[in-house]
Amino acid sequence: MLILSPVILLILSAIVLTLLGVFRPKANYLWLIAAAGSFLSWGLVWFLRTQIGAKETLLNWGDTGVLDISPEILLDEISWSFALALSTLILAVILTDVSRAGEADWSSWAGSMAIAALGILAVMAGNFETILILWVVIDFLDLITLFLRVRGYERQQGVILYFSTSFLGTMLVLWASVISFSQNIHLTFENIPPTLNLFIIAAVGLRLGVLPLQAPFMQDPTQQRGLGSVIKLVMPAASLSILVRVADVGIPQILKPYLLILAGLAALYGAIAWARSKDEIRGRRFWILSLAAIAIASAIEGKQEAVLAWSLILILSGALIFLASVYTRSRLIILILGIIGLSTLPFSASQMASTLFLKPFNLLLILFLIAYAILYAGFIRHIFRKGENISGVEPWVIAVYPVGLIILIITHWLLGTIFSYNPSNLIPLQFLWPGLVIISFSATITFFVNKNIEIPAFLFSGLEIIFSFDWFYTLLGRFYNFIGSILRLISGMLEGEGGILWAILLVTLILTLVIQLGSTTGAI
Amino acid sequence: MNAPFIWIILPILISILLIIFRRHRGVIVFSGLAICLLFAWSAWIVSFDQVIQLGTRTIKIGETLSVFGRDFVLSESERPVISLIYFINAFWILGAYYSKPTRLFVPYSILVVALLTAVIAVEPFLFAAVILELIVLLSVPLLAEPGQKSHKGALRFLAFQTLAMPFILFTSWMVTGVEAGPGDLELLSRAAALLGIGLTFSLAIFPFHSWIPMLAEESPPYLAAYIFFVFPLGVSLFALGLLDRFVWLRESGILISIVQILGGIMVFVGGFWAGVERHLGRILGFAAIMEIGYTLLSISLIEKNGLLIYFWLFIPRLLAYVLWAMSLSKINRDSNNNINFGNIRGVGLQSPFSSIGVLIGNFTLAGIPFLAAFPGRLVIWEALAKSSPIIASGTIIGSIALIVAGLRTLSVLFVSKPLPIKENSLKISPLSDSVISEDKMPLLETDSTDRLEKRIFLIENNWVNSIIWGLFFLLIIYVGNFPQFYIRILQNFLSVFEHFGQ
Repeated sequence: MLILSPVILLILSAIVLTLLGVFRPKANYLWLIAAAGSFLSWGLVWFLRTQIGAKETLLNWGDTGVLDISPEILLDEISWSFALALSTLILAVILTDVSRAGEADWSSWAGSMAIAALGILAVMAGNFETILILWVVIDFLDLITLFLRVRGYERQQGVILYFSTSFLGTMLVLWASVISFSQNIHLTFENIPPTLNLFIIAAVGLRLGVLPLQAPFMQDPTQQRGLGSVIKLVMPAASLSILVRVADVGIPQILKPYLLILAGLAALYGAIAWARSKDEIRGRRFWILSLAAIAIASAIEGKQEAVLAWSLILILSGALIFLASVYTRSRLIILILGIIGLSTLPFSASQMASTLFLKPFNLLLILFLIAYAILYAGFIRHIFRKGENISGVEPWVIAVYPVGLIILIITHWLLGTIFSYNPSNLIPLQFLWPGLVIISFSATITFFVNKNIEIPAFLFSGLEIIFSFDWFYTLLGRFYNFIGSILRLISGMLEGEGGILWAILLVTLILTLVIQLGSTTGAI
Repeated sequence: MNAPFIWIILPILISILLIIFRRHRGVIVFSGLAICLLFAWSAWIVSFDQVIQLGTRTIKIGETLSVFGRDFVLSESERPVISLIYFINAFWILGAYYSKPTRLFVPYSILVVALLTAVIAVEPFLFAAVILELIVLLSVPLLAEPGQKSHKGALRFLAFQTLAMPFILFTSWMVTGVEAGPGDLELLSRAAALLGIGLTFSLAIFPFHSWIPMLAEESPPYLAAYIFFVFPLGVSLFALGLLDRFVWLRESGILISIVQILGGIMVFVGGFWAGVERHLGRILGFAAIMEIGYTLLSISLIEKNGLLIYFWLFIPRLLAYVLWAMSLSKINRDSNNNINFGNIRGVGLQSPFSSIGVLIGNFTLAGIPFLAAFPGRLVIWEALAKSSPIIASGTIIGSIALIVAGLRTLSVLFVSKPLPIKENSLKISPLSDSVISEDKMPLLETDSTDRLEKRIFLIENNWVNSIIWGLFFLLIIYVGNFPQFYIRILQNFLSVFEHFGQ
């Protein structure tokens, strides 16, 4: 049960916070409890590095005698990296929340901790059955948390759509699992046929809004920095952890170009929208969309190290920019460190991400190179925006706030270098050229933007119409309505006055068809 | 003293007695609950045809009761199933406190379980069809409001079940010939065909399913759901009994294949219809069609733990049906018996628990992970995929379509702009969960909606209803995640079928 200790600690802290919050809402030690719980949990995840390889059965379904597999959790290098990223995220959120008194309260801390706990559990899932259960639990928790906070018809509709696509992704994995039984295979992380891997990648793509691009559904339902970032980053983490595991299997060669183009469009669309967004919180969903698309492209290319590296950029660098809202003296230094860490140059926190562009190099990957360069330029643009001023607060608040950001940078650096996942033993100096290209391209974009040379807005509106895929979902909706009207017509006939006769006629027709087919094939 | 008297005649007498006290809802519900639990418990522990020491006295519970020259035989191997049937009914009676169906529901349900027990007990076995018809006849008056004409759905239900009976009884006559000359293939195929037609009508197999959505639309949701649960249970037990008794049926490969294909079609078609439906009751009806499909699929997998799966699926089905139907009844009452999407927009903000109950019931039956049906579905999908990947995929698609139905319901109940509600209509009654009644009050202003939502959130249910709702919710989670703790109990039920249970 040791490997479950960070999860248990976070859940217990969330329960204590909730109880105290309900019965003593004005207590001034609630933040301390949240900070202590998340710090201890973060420390425990570091300790778990010594337990790599441990496996634990969560629910013993084997005892039923009819179910062959039980939900279990697994601690390996992949799950540990994600668990550390998530525990760092929650610690950073709680620490930086001291500067956001307006939006942070015990309920948002308890909610964040519970979601992070489930996220850690999900990234440690040892098989597909476990991940299915945890995805559903996370989705439900997200749904409830968001629903209790979001007001307004449009935003609530956004929450439902966001939940719906996640749910459909979950069912796609279930479908893959069922199909595997027909091939006498039990779908596990070690045993995935490429045809079924397509289902898994599509499911992750669906959950992340990448395959197909779901820009219309991806409204960010909450503009909160703390809880909002936890909700928006934990869910992708739970999906991306599976993507890393299935990445080395690859997919059927013939489908690669099509999927890469789809992912490339999503990455470019997300990157441009991120760079153009008014601020980092409004652009949050595009940051996630674009990086998730690049991670999916890495999985399609079968580059496992790259998937993990892009996922960590999404979570940790994302958390850095989303939480760095307040202007302090140390902010600039921290953010410059963050920019260097994102460069994908050798020995930077994101060095392994550039393995996507190493041999064998697919020309379609240029799309992702451009997308990342735009993302990078957008990151720099948002970071140099003037932060909110913090004044009239106690000195400890000014001291604690940057610690939350520094912790994100240090952890990312350690995960990207010393503790990097590098099963192919790649040498960092090989990764030089992608970083240089990205930096040069980003610098060019920044230069043009500073010279006020902008692409006309109407061009973006035109591209928005095509790339938002709104047209695709409108068509899908019409098709759904068409099927619905046919089914309702049949139902109306069967339930009408002549329903019994229609039913008998239908059976007669079916039987005639079956007998005819049977006599043709010789079966009857 | 004999077992058929205790578990068939006595409950019938009790149900008649309960009709007298029907005005006292609380009393009748909790006494009905206690009676069903008592019958379930006693069937679980008391051995038949053995001497039992009761203090200084000894009694022996016999197995046979003769009525008009026909025997009702309840043997030792049937005890667990009798216990299960009464236990299941206890859950339905408990849910009746929340859903408030007609006051005759409790006596009626006890009468129905007594008759279901008779279905298992009657000899010759094919007379069970007559008892099933009796259940139908008793149900029809209950489905109409007192003093009103019967609904079309109820009449369609009666018509199809009555059409089924002659086919099944005619098979009974032919079966005698089959047993005398088992080599007569022509007679065998005729008997099988007639039986197939009978069961097709009786089990509402596509395209003879139309009474289910009709009933779901026109009748009180709780009563409709009860019929959707109990009737397929009775008919499927009867069908399994047939398969168990007649070796020529059991060993007919083509019959098993047909049952599997029909099951797959029911799940697929039911799911799709639910996915495009705009009436909450009818969605429940189409989910019931899917469940009949799953029952058929489990019967088709009889050689691969199918019987265990068959009993297993009843547990999540029971929990989901009761939670869904009792929650839907509450919404139905609050919406003046009109649960079309157009009339229930925003109801989730007024009745959050009932709305969540509807959604949990829907998602449970769709088989999503974490909820009650998932482990059972996983087993059935695994077994199906090995024999027919197309049918397995069809059932998954059907489940996805039911999820779509749930998501549309979620959107309508919680997202749509709430209808104006009247502030003074809020009542807090310790024994009634009704919150919103009609008239006399000015419309609420928009800026007070939040305040109102909070109040409703707290007072929607009284504490008994909250406990009942919470119990079903927790059981759904428990059953979905800890199958290892109850699956062994289910093994006891297999012995009711002499050949399958081996």
